[in-house]
Amino acid sequence: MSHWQMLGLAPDADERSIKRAYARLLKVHRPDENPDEFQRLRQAYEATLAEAQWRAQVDDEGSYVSLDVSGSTADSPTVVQAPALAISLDDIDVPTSISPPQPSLDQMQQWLVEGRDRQVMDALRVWLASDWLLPFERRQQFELSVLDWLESAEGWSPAFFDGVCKVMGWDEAQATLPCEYWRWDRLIRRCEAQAFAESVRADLTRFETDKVYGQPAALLLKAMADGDRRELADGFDGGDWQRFAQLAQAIEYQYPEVPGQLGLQPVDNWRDWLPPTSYRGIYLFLWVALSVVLITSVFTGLIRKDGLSSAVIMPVLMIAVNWVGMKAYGIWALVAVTAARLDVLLSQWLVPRRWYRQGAGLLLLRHILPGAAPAFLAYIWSGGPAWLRWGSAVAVFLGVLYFTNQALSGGKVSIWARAWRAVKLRVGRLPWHTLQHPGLVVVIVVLVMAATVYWRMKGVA
Amino acid sequence: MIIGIDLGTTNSLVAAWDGEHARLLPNALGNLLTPSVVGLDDDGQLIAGDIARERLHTHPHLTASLFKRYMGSARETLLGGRAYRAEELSAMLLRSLKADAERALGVPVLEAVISVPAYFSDAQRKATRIAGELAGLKVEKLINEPTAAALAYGLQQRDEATFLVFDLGGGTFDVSILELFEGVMEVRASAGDNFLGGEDFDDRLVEHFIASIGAADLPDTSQPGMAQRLRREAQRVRHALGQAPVARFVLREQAREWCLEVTQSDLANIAQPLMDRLRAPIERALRDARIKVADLDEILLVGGTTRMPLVRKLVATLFGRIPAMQLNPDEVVAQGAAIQAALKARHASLEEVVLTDVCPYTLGIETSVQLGNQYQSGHYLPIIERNTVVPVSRSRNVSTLSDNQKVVRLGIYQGESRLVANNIFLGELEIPVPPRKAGEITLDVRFTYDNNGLLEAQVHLPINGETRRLVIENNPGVLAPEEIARRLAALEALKVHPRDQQVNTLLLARLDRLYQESLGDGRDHIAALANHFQQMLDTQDEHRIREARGDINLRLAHFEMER
Repeated sequence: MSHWQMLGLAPDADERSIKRAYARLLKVHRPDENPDEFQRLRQAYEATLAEAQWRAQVDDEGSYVSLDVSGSTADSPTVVQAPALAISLDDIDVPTSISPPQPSLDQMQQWLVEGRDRQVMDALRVWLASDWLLPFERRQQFELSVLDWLESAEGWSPAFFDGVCKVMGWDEAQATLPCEYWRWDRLIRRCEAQAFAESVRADLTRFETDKVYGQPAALLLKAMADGDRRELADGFDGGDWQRFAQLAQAIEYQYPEVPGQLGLQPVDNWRDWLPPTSYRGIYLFLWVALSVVLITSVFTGLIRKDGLSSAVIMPVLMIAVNWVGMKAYGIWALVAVTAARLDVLLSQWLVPRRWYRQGAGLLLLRHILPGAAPAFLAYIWSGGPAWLRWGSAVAVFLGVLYFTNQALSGGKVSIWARAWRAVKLRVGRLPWHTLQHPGLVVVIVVLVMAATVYWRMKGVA
Repeated sequence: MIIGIDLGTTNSLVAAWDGEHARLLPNALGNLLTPSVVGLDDDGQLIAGDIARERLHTHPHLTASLFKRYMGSARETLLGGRAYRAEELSAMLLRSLKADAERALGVPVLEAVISVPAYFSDAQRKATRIAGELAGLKVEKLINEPTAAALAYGLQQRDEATFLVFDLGGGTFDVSILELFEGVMEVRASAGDNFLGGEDFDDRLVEHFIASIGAADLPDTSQPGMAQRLRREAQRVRHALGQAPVARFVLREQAREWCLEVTQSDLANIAQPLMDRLRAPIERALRDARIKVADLDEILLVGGTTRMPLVRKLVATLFGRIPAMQLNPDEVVAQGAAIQAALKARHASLEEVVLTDVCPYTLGIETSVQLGNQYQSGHYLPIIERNTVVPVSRSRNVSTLSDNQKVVRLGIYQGESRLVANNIFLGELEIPVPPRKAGEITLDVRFTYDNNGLLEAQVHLPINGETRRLVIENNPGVLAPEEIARRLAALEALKVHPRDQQVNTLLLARLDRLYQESLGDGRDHIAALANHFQQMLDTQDEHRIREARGDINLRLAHFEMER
């Protein structure tokens, strides 16, 4: 049933007949006796009334536009016009002859545009304290024009806005806002963006003076050579990284316009700079690759032993080798970090750009050179013809580089990783929670056991 | 018979529908206004109204006033060594009002419609309801004070109208905008301030007096008895300034006298900060109702404090017109409550008027908002927007935030700020959920706000069909049922001061107060009168007592005038 039908009206009914129909039905569905019916009626009433009012407004505007065209006005008045008061105030000893206080509104707007906050605030106080603004209609118009100025003027600070709100009595918590929420929200967002820009600027100035504070902001926003940036990033601890990520995210999602306003350009690959979250890929790859190399060499006959047992022992052994190797790499990394500048200089020349990534990706001394160690191991462990030995060495080397690169790069997720995540999600959506019912688990186990026994017996029979 | 009660901060009234009019019922002393003061007499018996008010500063530890301000809070007042909550003090007053009504009507009264400020919160409304229960009254409905006033006004006025009710009482300020059409009285918007009223003006005056004389020179003004005296004197000065251009603020204590002249413009300066606070709620109500000042047909002044010329002038200036003054601002709320009571009882003599009211504040829950890939908690998700017509039931869907979340805790708040920290916490609701991935469990949160302004929150889990309802438990302002029963028993054990002696007791209390207040010859004069009256009382001759009472009352009126 449509709202119109509920009120028993045709969809073109006017406001008056809607109200009459509502009043009639209200006496049937009284709010205190039949709340549910009343709510439905109320909804229908509000919806139809809104529609009728909207229609009336559209009609009005149509006629208004045609009127406006015929009698064109010269320029729109910016001064608040005193609305006619319903009754002359003479009757109640209030002087009607009061005039608007000084300074004039135009003057105030001018000051606001020029950023003379002090004067604007004083003028606002004078205006608000004056009897001129006591009547609601004048006051509302005044508030709206102040709002208009704030929206059109650039360059006022959040502190200034805060001051204006206090003076004008605008308070969101008290729901005393001068306008619709979306307009207010826009101003608030502007203040938040400015406060954010201010904090970034403060961070950067502090960094300029002592090079200690504000490092995260500098890493993200300051223009500097790759080597400098790498060195700065190498000195970061967990807190620095956290702040760095927060800043970068805030810029990306909330305030994309802020760096532009400050004349800065954030590094476009900030996710690459974040320290790798896991080296699991490399571990796994090295373990699998070296195990395969060893086992194939066992079977191809280089080491004559009982093949099957070494196939079991070798992978276990490889875990230990892996661990030792990674420890060794840790020591190497310490050395390589001290030579970061040289490293970046070399890498800039020798490493392909899509791996180098402005110093955030693979570096020659730090990542590529150590990759030769497992490659060497693969070379000496693999048996067979020379091409196989060289082939396995190169494969391990490239694999290490690939997975290191994966670990270092943030943000851009590879297609495999995405596929894996999708599979995980699908699997996760399966009704695993049913397994929390012990009874169900027992039933499944019993069924599986029965099935196994059945097939075994079938085979025997 | 359902009666209408205006339970005010300073004064309370009772009214009932007599078939044609809403008639105000006099109390035992023959007055329509009963001061909202309760206390215990020297025998530990319950007294309320004028007598208690006379004893406010002679026996500050045995009397309590202004307790409406603490409704819905856990604050307790000591009375004769026992702690009472605002509900209980209100109940004592209601009991006395109920007895008055029963005497005036000649029938037992068991049900009542009680008026509350429109801007009263959930806890405050619940407290008022409990006060009614404690007084042995079934509260049929809580009606908003401005709405009640509008009902009384609208009954005289048959045609369509849009009007604004400006209700400034002893302790609360309410604004409501109403529209009357086709026998429907519709509240369009309400706003207000629960801590702004005539008593605040008095407090300011007292502060002004102390600041002008100098606190060092005065006796200890924070002492309860002294504070009550100053307050009463301030009220007298404020009322006097309604007519005269100058009034004298006098304090007498142990052969000393302090005096301060207060002019009307002094009062205007003192009251300015309070007057400024009147503006914002009106603006908000106008904005919420989407009504221009020019579209208002009438401004109604309600509440005793609107008798102040200062307030009338401000209202006239704000709206650019003269407010309606044909109503008695003290009585109209009680009359409206009585009309509501008659409507409730479907009184045949009343033309059918249907009243719809609104929920004056936004109600919602706490949620987290996603910013980038992190969540920020403490954000407010409104469920019922302010000035929605009640009864109303609205729901919003929310979902879980973390993987394998076991329980969802919903904080329920009232207020307008986008951060819950700035809003009023009403209570919380916990519901266990089956462990799933984040965001996979959806909860249906439903708020139902009934006709009396009481909120019920309910959470429904579509996944397993479980439903939880909220009993707001963590709110210290609301009494638990067993606690109510216990306090009811304690209150019923309290004996009430015998009604037929009230006139005499009042006179004795008044003599007692005047004796303490006056000095020298005046004091001797009062002492002589008191002795004379006591002698007359001892004769137990009803006729002679009445004669002496009339005579002394006349003398006292004269005496107080001369001071």
